[in-house]
Amino acid sequence: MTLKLNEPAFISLLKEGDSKAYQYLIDAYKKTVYNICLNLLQNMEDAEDISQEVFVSVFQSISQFKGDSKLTTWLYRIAVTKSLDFIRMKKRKKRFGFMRSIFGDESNEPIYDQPNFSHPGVLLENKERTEILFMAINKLPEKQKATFILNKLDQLSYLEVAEVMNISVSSVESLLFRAKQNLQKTLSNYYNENER
Amino acid sequence: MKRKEDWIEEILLSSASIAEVNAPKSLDTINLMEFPSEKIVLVPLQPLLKWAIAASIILLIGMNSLTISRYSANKSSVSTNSNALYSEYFSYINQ
Repeated sequence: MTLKLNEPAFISLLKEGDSKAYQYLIDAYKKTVYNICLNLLQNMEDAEDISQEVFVSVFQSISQFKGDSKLTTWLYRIAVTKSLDFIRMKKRKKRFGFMRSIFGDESNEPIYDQPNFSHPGVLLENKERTEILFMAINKLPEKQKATFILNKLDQLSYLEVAEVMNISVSSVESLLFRAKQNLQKTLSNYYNENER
Repeated sequence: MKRKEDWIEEILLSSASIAEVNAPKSLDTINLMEFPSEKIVLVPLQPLLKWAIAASIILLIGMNSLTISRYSANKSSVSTNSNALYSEYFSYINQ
């Protein structure tokens, strides 16, 4: 299905609840949204669930979209926010589970650390390297992590990252610079520990 | 040392080898129409409830002002008493 519409007309179709417009939106952006979620969450099942939630959220709150930014920017922003919220929720659960285990409250839900993430889009020869990279990315502060992933992994430009993250381009540059410095530090420690 | 720097650079550059993956099939079948869109619904308050809220606010303000006025009255009587005590205590100076 092809939809030859300009963005405001497309948005008004979405606001009217046009099912074809929604199907087009999903078809056109599911891949990017899923990849953003996958790179941030580093878990295929979680990325699938959160991607679904992103589209549901777009459907439910399109009436609040004022058109201040591009539709894609808004969509990617929802994907990033939902993914970061999910990571925070998981961390909170883990912390809470740890506290409960201290106080002897046995919970049925298992608490485990995330294993090394093997990205499905990586060739076997690069698998080990990307696993180490994801391990280092996971140690970055939230904003640096999201900025690095959006720019280096999802190939968004500085301007696009700035719009999605709702920050200035210079902030993106500084976040990327600090992210690279932190990654180098983590990788250096990893190298020393593993004596290559 | 050079080897370590090269290794770090190699790891950082490996981000370029990560290709986009296709979205899972479940995203094709997602039926958005089964999710109700968000709407702000105004629930009208019953008149009795409105009056109850208004009465409780008036009662709260009334009780507060009564407490404040009683407290300030007590405070002024205490200060008058203490003045009397001082004047009695130091009265020998005037004698």
